[in-house]
Amino acid sequence: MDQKDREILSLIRHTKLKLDSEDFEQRCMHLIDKEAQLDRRPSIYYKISGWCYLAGLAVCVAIILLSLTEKPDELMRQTVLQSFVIGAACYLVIHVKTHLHHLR
Amino acid sequence: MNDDTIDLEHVNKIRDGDSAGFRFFITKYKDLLFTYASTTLVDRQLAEEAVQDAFVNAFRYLKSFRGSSSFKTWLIRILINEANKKRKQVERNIVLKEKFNEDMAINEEAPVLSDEIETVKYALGLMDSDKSLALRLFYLDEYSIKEIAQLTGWTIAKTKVSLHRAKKDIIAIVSELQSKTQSDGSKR
Repeated sequence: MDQKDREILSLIRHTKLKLDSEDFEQRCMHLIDKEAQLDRRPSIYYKISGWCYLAGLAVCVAIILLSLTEKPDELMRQTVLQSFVIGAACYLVIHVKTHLHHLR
Repeated sequence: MNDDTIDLEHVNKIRDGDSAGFRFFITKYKDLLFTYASTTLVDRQLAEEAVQDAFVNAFRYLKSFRGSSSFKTWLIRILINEANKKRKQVERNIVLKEKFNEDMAINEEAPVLSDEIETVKYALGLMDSDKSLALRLFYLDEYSIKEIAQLTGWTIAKTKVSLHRAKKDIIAIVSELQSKTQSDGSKR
């Protein structure tokens, strides 16, 4: 490789191209803002579901305490089962929603 | 404070919720990423789309950036993946375009290039995209063979061979273009 060849190769470092589309930055930032919003949204869902879960748990505890005194066993079992089913359904819905947001 | 430290500071700010701070990276790296995207994708609009997708993906997966390489290297890796994905989508068109470029290399109608840098740019555009990418990573950003292999997913052996052949090719193409420009000049 002679001097001329080395000069040709050294010129490669000056071949950076320019992305001069006027609104490129604007378009990217718009997409990133959308992405940031999607990121924030699921955390709100999780917070809400967390509070719902705690509230449900409190109701269950209250029912158990009540059942110890005078409520029939069957009613207690049904209520606890329903709470679990509703809780699991909520969790699944939130999970699928979060997934769909990320896919979009 | 060096470039990598400044980038890392911005990464931490964005992770803390300042999504608007990502504009810093777009302004700083858009031209560089566009240059690399253009080596893989001949179509300007597709190259621009690849850069845009790379930025969005970088933002989306910023949590997974652990800092084992610089942010710039991480970003270039995402861009190369995006550009390769897009290239596969339009492979047929690219093959046609490359054939067109090969024809241009020996075509009498190839443009007369007076400026040396423009000639090298034009020559890079005529080359096989892998070779062109290897040359730019090596000379434009001064990445080592090992780093280029990591960035592109090639083996060290393939990187060395690509780079070696790319050097020979570009010297041949530039010399041919220069001699053509000289002979055109003397005819006039």
